[in-house]
Amino acid sequence: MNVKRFFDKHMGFFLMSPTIAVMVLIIIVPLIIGLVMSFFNYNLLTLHRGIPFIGFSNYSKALGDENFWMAFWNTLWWTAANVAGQVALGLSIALLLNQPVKGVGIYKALILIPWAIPSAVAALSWMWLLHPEFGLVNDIAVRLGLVSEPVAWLGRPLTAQVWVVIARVWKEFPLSALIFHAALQTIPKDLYEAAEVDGAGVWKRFWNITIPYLKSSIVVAITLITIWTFNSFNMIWVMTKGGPGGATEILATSIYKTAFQRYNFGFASSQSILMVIFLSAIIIFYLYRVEGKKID
Amino acid sequence: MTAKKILLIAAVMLVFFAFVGGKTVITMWVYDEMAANEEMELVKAQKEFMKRNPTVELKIENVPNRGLMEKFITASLAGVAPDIIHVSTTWAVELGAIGTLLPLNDYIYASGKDKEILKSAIDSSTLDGNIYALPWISDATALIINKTAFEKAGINYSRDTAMNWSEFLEVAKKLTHDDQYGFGIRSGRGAAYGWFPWLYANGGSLFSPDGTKVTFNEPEGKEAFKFYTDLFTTHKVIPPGAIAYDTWDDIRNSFLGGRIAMYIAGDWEIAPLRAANAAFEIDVIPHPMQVRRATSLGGSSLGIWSGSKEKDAAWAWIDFLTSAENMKVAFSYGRFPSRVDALESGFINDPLIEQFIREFPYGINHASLVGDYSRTVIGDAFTSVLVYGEDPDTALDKAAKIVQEALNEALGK
Amino acid sequence: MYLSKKKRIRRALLVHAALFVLTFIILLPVLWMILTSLKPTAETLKFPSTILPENPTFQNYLAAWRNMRLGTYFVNSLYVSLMTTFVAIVLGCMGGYALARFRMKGEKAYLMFILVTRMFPAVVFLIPFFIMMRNLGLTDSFTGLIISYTVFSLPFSIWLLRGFFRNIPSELEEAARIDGCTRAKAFTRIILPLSAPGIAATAVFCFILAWNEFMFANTLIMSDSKRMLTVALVASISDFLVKWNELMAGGMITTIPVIIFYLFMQKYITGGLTEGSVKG
Repeated sequence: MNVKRFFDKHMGFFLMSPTIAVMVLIIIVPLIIGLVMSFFNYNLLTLHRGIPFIGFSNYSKALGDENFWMAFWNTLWWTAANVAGQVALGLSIALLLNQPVKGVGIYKALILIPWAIPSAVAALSWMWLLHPEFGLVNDIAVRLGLVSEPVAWLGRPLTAQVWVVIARVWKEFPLSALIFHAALQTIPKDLYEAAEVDGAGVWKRFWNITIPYLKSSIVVAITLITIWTFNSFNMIWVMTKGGPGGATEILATSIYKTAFQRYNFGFASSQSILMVIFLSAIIIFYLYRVEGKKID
Repeated sequence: MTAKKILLIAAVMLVFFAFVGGKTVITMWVYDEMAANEEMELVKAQKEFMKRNPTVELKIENVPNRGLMEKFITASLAGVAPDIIHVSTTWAVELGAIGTLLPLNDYIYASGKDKEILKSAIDSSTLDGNIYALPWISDATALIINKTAFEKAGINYSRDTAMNWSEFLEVAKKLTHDDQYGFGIRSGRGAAYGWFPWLYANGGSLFSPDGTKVTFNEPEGKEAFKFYTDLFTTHKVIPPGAIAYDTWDDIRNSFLGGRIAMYIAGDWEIAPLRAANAAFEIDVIPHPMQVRRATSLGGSSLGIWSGSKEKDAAWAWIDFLTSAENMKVAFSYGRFPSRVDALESGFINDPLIEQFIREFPYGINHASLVGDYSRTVIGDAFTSVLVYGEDPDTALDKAAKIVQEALNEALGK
Repeated sequence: MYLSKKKRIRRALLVHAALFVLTFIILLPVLWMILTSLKPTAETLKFPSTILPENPTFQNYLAAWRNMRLGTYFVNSLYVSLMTTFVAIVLGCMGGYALARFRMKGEKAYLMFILVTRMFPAVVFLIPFFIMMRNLGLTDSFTGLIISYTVFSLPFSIWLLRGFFRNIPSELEEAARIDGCTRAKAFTRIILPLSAPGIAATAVFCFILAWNEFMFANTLIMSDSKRMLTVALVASISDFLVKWNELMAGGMITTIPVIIFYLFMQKYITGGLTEGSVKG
């Protein structure tokens, strides 16, 4: 009985400790290993000859590397374009879904589909849509007379950049649509009706009622999309592998290549630590601005 | 416990170990889906091998060719690589130099394989006297042409003599009309692979003979690079969409669709080309030449992982697969075995395949310590010229600098 | 209602038309995937394309299942995803319940920590994981992959489940305890049944998270027989041949289980989405 009571009394501890142990083992330990590796010349050749400690050399090498900065700037526009695209498309869909009209529920279910598709499959299906010879996009563009002959969309820098963004916006926008839809439903319906009776136009109602109510969820959506896009890897990796000529090379793909194609694990680790440092500004903002209030 | 019981247990254990523990298990990775089903010759050879060596259990796994080298290095680092690996002939020295492949010299000389396998192919797998893989299948590239388009344009061609570059350009221009372009190349790494024979044909080379210095940006190389990229940028005999011809599939479809009238590839193209029932006639002619004849000597080899615990069994399988009796395996895939007696084996009765085999004497392999990487880097140079419009000389110099750095690193400088 | 009937009907038509067109455009890539998966190879190589398959066939699905060996990969993905879900749910219930019911030192810091891990780039974990697994001999094994998936699914499930548990009034439990139930009994008899839908939703999310994953599976698994479905599809693009119709059929085979789960779990998706970072 005593054992039972002891167990009962300290149950919180017994329940927490396994998860804390697991989290330490699979999250803290790897992060420490990554941090330590970033100070060593850990690569394919030194692996057999002994791994030398080189201090901050990997970091200074990364910061002086034009490829690293190219990937950094690419990550910035990639993130910005995704945020803009996903918020705009998500908001438009959410506003339409929020109209007091019967039968829009079916659309809500349907627009979720892109988001459910595994990103590797989504990327493959976009590759097929954009196929330089038999792709549907070329077919439509030729039929509409936009281009005279099929275009290698993923073979040219600018078009590749545009299409990887479109593909990922297509894949991820349902998330923001749902966030906005949930927020829109908290707006009392009679507010709109009262405004309409008072003669407020569509735009006025949008700016004076909708936007103030949505403000906080827009902040949430923007920060979350920023973080996830910054970290994303799959769509670009499958569609272009960072090409053509580095036009779509983002930090995640560049680090992956350094580690698993050039086998320079130390250098890749230092780049990934730098990536986390860049990201931490957004994470800290998110924690204090959004989640900090919710935790208590 | 009675003696009887003990004996019984011992007997059971013996039988158990004879069936389970006593077997030597070896694994092989093969690409191009060569062991995709029971009907394939490689699977039949596998069964035959296991019948003759009852103590060995051989497992064959199909792996994708794309990214295979990286996957093998990663697996080797992780200590889980297969005992036998089917690699592109050009990779052997690179994989050997970083310690992932076992030098096969002792096995090869003891078995006399050095006399049975093409010397040029063995040479391309050798670094500092170590032979890192045994060539299994060889191929050489040649010019595949749309014979009907040639006839329509009134162009005579020879199946025996190679055109020089100006003749080639002339032909390509004549073939460029309406929706059709004279020539097609693959993009990126594929463009680099296609360009190597042009470099050799102009008297150039990728690296200095001792393998320590990059030489592809010397005048011969620059001239060849400019000629090749000019076909796209200045003469426009290559379709603009070629910058997205990523796979052999892409360029073949373009050829079959009448978009391009010539492309350079190896004998592996013949089977799919025949299967597609093209609306026109196809022929194969020698690779264009300049100061000398040259073509890409490629193919695939069999290597043993340096970390393998069953090296002897692994070699026994390689020995068996590259033997005279198993030449039928390579032939069954429409490929050509790397054996010196392959031509006389009587398997070849295809006039198109024969054309490729006639190119063998001019074959040069681009294997080197950084061969695969140089392909990636030169591929990027092609992209920067064809897509970004950079000056060919500048792009090639830039590539040479990057490859030289990688080479220095690999040499431990 | 202040609006006239005519105006309301006009608005309804307008909204439906707009949504229909938008949804159609959004679903076009999926439709195209389905249509391509039903076409014979020759038809996929036509330009301009045949929009609807002229000779529809299910052959590609059979070919994908057998020739591309998707059957094997399907089972692999299923096993790894189910095991990941199991681990995440068991540990997540423990952690989530503790965080929901007990006041503990450092609770807030722990919650922050969980949140932060969900925002770290996966590639940051990938490199150390590769080295760790190598030293533990767990590369090229399902166990290694399940462990690495737990990095993302566990914080997520703790977070979600904590929310579900908190929504159950603690009075219920207290009443049970006054009647002589231990905490453990109160948990299994009262909390678990009440939060079953929440646990199910979390399980579905964890499953999908693992099922859709690509980067870890692509790096930590080497041999063909252990490959995951998403990786196998991408790897089937070779230098020599891409059969887009079979590839699209394979894409459908990979996607259908996920879509089915979504349709069942629609109610919980919004909450789960905004709360947690499910990404594929």
